[in-house]
Amino acid sequence: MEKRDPWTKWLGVYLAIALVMVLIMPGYAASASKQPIKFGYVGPMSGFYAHGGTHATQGMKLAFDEVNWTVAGRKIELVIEDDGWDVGAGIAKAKKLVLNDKVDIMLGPHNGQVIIALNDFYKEHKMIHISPIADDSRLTRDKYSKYFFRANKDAIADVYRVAGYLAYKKGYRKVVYMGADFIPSRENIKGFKQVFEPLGGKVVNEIFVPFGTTDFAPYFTKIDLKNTDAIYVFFFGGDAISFVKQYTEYGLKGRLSLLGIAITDGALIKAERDAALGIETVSNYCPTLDTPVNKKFVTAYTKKFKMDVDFHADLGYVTAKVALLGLEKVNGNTKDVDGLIKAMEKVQFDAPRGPFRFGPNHAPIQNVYLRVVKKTNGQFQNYVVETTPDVGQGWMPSELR
Amino acid sequence: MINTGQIILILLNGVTTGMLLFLLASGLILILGVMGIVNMSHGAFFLLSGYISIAIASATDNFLIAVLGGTAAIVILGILVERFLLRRVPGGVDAQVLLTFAFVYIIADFSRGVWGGYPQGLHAPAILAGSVKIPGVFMTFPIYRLSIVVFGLIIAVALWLFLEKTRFGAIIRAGVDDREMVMGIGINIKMLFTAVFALGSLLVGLAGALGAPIMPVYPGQDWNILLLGMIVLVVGGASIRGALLGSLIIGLADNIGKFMLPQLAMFLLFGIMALILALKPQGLFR
Repeated sequence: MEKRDPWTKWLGVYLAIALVMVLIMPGYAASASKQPIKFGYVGPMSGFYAHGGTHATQGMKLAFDEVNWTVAGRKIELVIEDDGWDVGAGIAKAKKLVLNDKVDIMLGPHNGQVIIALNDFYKEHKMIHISPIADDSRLTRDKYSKYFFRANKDAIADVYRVAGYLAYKKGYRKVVYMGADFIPSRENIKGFKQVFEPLGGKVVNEIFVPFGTTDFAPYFTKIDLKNTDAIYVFFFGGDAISFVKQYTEYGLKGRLSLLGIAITDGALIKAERDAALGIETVSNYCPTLDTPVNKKFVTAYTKKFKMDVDFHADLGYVTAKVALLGLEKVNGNTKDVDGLIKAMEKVQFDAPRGPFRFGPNHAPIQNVYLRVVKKTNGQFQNYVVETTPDVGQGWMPSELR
Repeated sequence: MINTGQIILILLNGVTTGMLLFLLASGLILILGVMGIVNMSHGAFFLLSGYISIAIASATDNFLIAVLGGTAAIVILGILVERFLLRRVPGGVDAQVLLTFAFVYIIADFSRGVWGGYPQGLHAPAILAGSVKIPGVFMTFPIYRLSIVVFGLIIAVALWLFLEKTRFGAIIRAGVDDREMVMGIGINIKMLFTAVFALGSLLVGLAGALGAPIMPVYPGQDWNILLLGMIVLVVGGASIRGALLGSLIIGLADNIGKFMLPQLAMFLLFGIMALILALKPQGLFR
């Protein structure tokens, strides 16, 4: 049999390869110019603070749903990593997202210590990062980086100062503080005192309780009931449930007034039930806010995720929305990082929590609400009692300006 | 400074915390004492029992059924684990401990998948809800916590009677002392070990269910529980008496420590543990 030369023998194969290349090449060319925009998220999806990450990412997904996961013609991708509220894991996962997954914008983490540790890394990689909540006050002060945006309050400056003001207006003059033992908690009481004490009040004791405490009795025992009007409290997650239950069980409810931060958020009320009734808290958000934006948000959220809205859902939503609005302004150009930063600084919109815009150093200006827990139709919910508008970093009540 | 009311409260709380710890640690100590295995999935069993009890309680609105259900589930799990996994692992006790360690992650991920990461709680049954006024103290004391003391004592006494006064208990004690001899007399040592693991699982399952109204149930709690169990084990020693007295010591130390120096409370517990390890490694009441 005569030998066939390689060309004719393999002709079929060469034709097939050519055909395939013709088909996929245009695809490559097209996608190079319209690459998807990758968002990276690292946050607590498990462990003690699992609800933080769960709700934040769901809020983000809802914001992306609203624009059909496309902005300026580019598809949106979201890569989620869990840090379990551990600083080491947070740093590692964030680096992975930037170096391996090559994300365009970082969302999260929630933990301020991780962000500070990564400040130089982010600057080196010109990575914009928006944190839903890291309220460590250094982030918009001495550790400020132009790549950082914060979607929520500052630990010292605003919500807690309003809390100090509200406490004074309510007639409390001697307050004991009890809060979780971490930096935002220590800054919380600092902020509170910056308004409460110049007005004439006094914080008589500060008790810091380690995370995961199930037994508050020894801490309650330290309170001098005769010399205290009220207790100002900051807990979240399992600690908040234990605290609220035991505040009632140990007979303090009714004998010591309570002003809280975060202790009746979201699904915590479901676990606390009657123990939560009548408890007042100060927050940037209230699920029952009667605005069209919020109502639409709550309906869509509960329908899609089959769970109640939580404070962190609005945080996630706002975090993503800030990025989306900024990207729209620059037509999806993620290569011009400084341009995107400038665009994001000018972002202004009505969030579920109310009007949102940025002030100096990328810290937000927003409303602060005084809320109380009531039971309506068998459901426990927070309702707004009073609104303080335009609160940003450096807020002070009119009496002290 | 400190008034008598505060002292009473700290002592009372120390004892109730101690009893909860006893419930929690007794299963761990029983399995270790008899089988020589440190059940690393002890905390995970506790957590799972909590989750199951809460699920049953929301379905049936009955606390008793929830507790029984949660406990039963863990007993079944324990029997299955021992019979089909632990028993077949070659390499002795060390390999078995590693296997139980694997279960921690399996159960933790399973729980998170089914119930999510949210902390959940259980409400005490109506007859045990509410608080009593303690004379001399400005705070009231929850009845449910007092009832934990009662449960704990009942279980301690029941365990002691079982081990000391029944034939089965005698077999268990013999199996600890001399395994070969027990097999030589014709006793099925394999069945014995399954039974002991089941009993240990029953204790931790019960603890998890009863503890749910007091300790919120969430992923991560399993490690806290295991840690506490270990501390009690080290301080008290691997015996029922050790479990009871060790728990009370730790319960009191924890409450006193938190009252005096909240930031150092955890350190106090570990400090005591380190001290015992250095001075009397087999525990105080071996």
